[in-house]
Amino acid sequence: MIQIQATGLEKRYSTVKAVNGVSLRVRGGEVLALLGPNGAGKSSLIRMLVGLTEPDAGELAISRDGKAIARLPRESYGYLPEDRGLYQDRTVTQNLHYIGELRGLNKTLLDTRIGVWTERFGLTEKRTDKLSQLSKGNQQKVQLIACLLHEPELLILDEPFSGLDPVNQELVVEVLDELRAAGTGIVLSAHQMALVERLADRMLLINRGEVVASGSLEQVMQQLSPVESYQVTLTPETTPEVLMALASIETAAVEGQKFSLTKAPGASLQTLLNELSSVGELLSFSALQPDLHELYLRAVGGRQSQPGETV
Amino acid sequence: MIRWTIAVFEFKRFLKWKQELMSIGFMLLTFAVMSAWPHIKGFIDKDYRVAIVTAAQLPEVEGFVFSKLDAAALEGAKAELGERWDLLVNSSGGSLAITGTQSASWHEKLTSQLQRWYQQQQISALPLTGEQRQVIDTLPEVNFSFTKEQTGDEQERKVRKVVSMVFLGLLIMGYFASFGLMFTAITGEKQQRVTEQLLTLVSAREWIDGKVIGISLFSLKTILTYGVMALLLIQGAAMISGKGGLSLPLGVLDMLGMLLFLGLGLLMLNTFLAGFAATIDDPNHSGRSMVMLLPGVLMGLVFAVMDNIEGQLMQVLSWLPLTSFAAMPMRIAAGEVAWWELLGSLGLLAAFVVWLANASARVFELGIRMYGKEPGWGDIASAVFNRRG
Repeated sequence: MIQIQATGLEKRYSTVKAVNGVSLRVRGGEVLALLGPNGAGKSSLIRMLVGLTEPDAGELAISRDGKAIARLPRESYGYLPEDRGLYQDRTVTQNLHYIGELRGLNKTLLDTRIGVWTERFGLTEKRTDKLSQLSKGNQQKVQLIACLLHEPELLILDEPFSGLDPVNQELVVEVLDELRAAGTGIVLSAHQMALVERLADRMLLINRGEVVASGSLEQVMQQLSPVESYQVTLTPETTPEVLMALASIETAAVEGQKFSLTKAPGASLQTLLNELSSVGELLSFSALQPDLHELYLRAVGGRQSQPGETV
Repeated sequence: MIRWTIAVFEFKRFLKWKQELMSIGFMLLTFAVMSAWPHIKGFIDKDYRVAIVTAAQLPEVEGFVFSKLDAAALEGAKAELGERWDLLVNSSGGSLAITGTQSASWHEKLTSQLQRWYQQQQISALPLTGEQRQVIDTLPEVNFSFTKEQTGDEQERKVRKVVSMVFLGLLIMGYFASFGLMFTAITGEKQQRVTEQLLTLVSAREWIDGKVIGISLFSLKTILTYGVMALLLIQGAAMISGKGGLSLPLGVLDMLGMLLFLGLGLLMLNTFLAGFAATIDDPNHSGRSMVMLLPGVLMGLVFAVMDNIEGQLMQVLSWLPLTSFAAMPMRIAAGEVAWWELLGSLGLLAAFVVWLANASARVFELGIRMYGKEPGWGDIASAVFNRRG
């Protein structure tokens, strides 16, 4: 099984530091999602992982079955570049055959696998079409098949959902889920937060080349939104000033008949409930949890990172 | 194996059967039209009618019908110009007075023929002996003699010269085919970002090697196809003109030697083209595209000294690796070349190809990963001479 341990990776292009002190770990049977706005450094990081570029600083340790190796063996991984990297003037089959042959697969095996994957992705009828004749989404699926033909241990996918409609996005999620279950390690970059939330075991949020948050979904949300927020309805009616006078409440704001509260650091939930009960009868109480999309927008808008953290 | 897979892919990528067959068909059609041209021309063109005031025998010129005219009828014939006659010629006054309705391009051809005809009339009128007339009419005989034994006769030497000219023409054609394919292939792959996908599958060295082999094979195919076509055309033309079939005055070893130089030459050219094309970012705006035409200058140099194949300059060019791939096959086609010259030149060329392949691979690796910019000339020079920056 392939493992990658990156520590403090740095990459500079001309005057821009594209990646600055990023650390991560890639394991088999796990999906690691790289999140970040355009130009955050995701593709630069991926290019270093697949060996297209060398890091300027930091360490990239790769091991296979516990044994250290210099770089990812070609047959062990599949790489989906951000830009479509296939020949537009060749047909789907010709492109896939070429990629497969370069990976050392024989013709019979290739024919079988091309048949299986094109059927799975609904491209059977398009096999003899030139790439240039296909839609953006279908080209993306061909590109994805090219990564899967040799059944790699590790998949490194730069924006795999790009150009796909919701139905095909679901199909790709389904395929990636199956591959993860079969033990394939997956690193992907994406902007589709809802899909990432469902798919990723761990994630790394990058902004301006630096890590903003990392870990499991819960950990990332905790890092991005450390303040616990709640929404309550009380009777008899009260004012925000009364609530803010309570020790367990840091902020309070009225929203119609409800109050939005943030819990004071160190206060327990039980203390909060007890203090609220002392003000009046609690008619409703719910935690306010912003979704990943919202947290992402907040995070890339301002917060900076703590370089060196390993996901 | 990977190199061969890439080579086969590149070869097939540019082999368009339909276009191949169409171009062969077009050439055959051109040949057929050329062969039948005299008949077509005779069928379409009318003969010009020329009336001549003369007492002598009328001239015979293809495309013209001559009629004798009395000097007294000349003025009356002028009224018939453009209808009965196309031209009137009066040769009675010691010169040729020609009258037509207006100037025409065919007058030039006719004038020279009439001048010769009239000159003959004037010579005949001179008080000369038969022997004197023969001296005037016949060019002096020339006999060459050589101290060394000659290979083949004059006819064979002419055919050999034609073969060497055809070879150079085909080589230039092959070079331009390579130039076009390599230029569009590599800059296209860079622009479509095929490079990123491929470079995770193969090394830059494997990629350039496979590409060079594939496109060199394609160029070789182009040269051989058109070479065979040219041979057939020359044969056909010779047979139609009544000269009979021409045999190729080259032995198996000659052809093998030419093929070796040709093969190595194509590898050398394509190696250079592949390495340099990778440094070009935008083929529409980069001024560097012109550099890829430099090998054409080398072939132009050989072309410039082609009229003296046995000369010293051609011997020098046939030893220089940059030009030997074009110059030495021409010397082989033109006559015998000493075996030690062949081996020496071939060895130098092979060594140069190996060095250039390594240098170009370094330039290719430098340029192929660059998007949106081009490596500087200093970086290219460092890569060529393997100087670490």
